This record gives sequence, structure tokens and C-alpha cells, in this order.
Amino acid sequence: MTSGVGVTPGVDLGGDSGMRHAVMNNKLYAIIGSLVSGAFIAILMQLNASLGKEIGVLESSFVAHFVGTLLSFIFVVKNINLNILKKTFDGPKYLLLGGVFGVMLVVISNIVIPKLGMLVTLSLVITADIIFSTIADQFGIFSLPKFKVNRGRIFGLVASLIGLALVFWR
Amino acid sequence: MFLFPATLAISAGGILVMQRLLNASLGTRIGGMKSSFVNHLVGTLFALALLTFGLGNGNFKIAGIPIHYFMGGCFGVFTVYLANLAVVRIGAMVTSICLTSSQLLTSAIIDHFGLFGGQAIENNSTRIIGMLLIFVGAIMASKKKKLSKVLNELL
Repeated sequence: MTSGVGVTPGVDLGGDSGMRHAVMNNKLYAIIGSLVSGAFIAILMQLNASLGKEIGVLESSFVAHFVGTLLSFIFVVKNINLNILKKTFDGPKYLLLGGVFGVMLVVISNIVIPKLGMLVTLSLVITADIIFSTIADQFGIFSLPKFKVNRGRIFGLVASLIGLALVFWR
Repeated sequence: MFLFPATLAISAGGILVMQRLLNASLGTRIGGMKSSFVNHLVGTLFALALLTFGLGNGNFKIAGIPIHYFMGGCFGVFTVYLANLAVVRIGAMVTSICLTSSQLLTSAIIDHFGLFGGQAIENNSTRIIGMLLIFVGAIMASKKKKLSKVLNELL
């Protein structure tokens, strides 16, 4: 639902009775891992914004993507081949727009964070995220599965909007 | 005065959703990490094109700037890596609950102490309550209906 970065649907490993302990450990690591990555998101947004104040917002976005390209290349270098590129280009071309949106995101957060601060910025983004994911799920855009609006989503949205007003309160 | 940046931040929320859906769609084709690589590469080229067209401020001096300011991109890659690991073990919902909670908490801490080059904004009770409400709202708005069921599976 909200604020994950590049979260892809995967298979559930499930809880086999004999492997109960190992699975629990796995889950604990996964929870710690995702808590850490949430903290990373906040830290990286602030770092990019600080860099943006020094060298310019678009320049900072370029640096972030360039450094990210180099590092992710290290992760994928073992199993990158022409087939991957072929599979990428075989699909709908709009799938490549993710990177374009990424640049716009960093530029926007670089402009906004120095003005509003991290918490207010993230609160706005998360609330807008809930609204737009609800819309996107309702129609199942980009050939992803549909999820219809339910009562929980409406209540959740209202709670977040009240929370947002309070965060804004000075 | 708040209106312009607030509107921008809301549009960022919309863009974030589009980007995440595109990522997920590409990720199911070629895998999460490779899709992150493709994303960063396309982003680099796009930003480079914009800079070449003179949309930057022409002040690309990197001397004297703290080195950790340049590490934002690294954190982004680790985030994708960790999230991909987490999703298959605890499911997308619990992963995003963890992400949202620690994002909010970390940003409140960064604001409070003015960390990583930010301006210090002190936390007060209103901000904390608002943060908690946003967190509760984010959980309630998630796709699965029964949180208790998810927690049961987990514990």
C-alpha cells in the first residue's frame, strides 16, 4: 500500500511446522530490515535535499541517480545479460518511465523539504500516497490487479487527513 | 506560503504511486534489483538530458561539500534490496507498515535535531499525535482487511 520503494509482489514462504524457528528468525530479520530501510528513505531524502541546497535541485537528483546506478550495477552485474534488456524493451515502453518519475520525485522533495521540514513533507507524501494508491487500485492501472475501495480504506484516509492537519499545526 | 510546497509534496505522492506501480510491473518481468538498476539508469540519463538543456542552476561545484551528502543514491539502492528481501518473508503489507512507521519516526528525529544538513524543527505533542494518526490511517487503508490475522501469522 503506502511508501514502499520498489516493493515487488513475491511468493510467501509460509510457516512449515518443522522450520518454525528458522522461519521466525527470517521474519525477525525481515522486520528489522524493513524498519531500517524506512529509516534509510527518510535519511536519503534529507541528504538529497541538503545536497540540493548546495549544488542545485536537479543536479542533486542527477547525482543520486548516478550513484544509485553504479551501486545497483554491482548488485546485478553477476546476472545481467542481453536477455534482461530484451525483456525490458519487449514489455510496454512506459515501464521505463519509472526512472523519469524518480528524477521528478527527487527534484520535488529537494524543493519542498528545506521549506516544510522532513516530517511535514513525508506526512503529505504518505497521505497523498494513500489517496492515489486507492484510486490506482480501484482501476488496476499498469496491468496490475484491482483492489476495490472498502470501509477500512475510507476510515484510514480520514485518520491520515486529521493527522496531517495536526502535523501542520504550529 | 505553505501552499506551493504543500501542493508539490502532494503531487510527489501521486508520482510515487505511479513510480512504485511501474517498478512492481517491471520487477515482475525482470526482478526487483534489475528493475531498480534500469530505473536508476533511465533516471540518470533523463537528469543528464535536462541538465544539458540548461535546466540546472549551473553551479555544479562539488568541492567542499560533505561526502555523505552524495550517499543518497546508495541508501536508495539498499532500500530496494531490503524491501525485496522483506516482502517475500513477511508480505507486502507488514513490510509497508514497517517502512511507514520508521519513515515517520526517523523524519521526526531528523527534524527535531536538524540532522543531515536539515533545519531543526522541534517536535511537540500535536506533531507526535498527528504522526501517530497518519500511521494508524496508513495501516487501516492497506489492502488486507484483517490486521489481527496478519499479526497472528507473524507471531
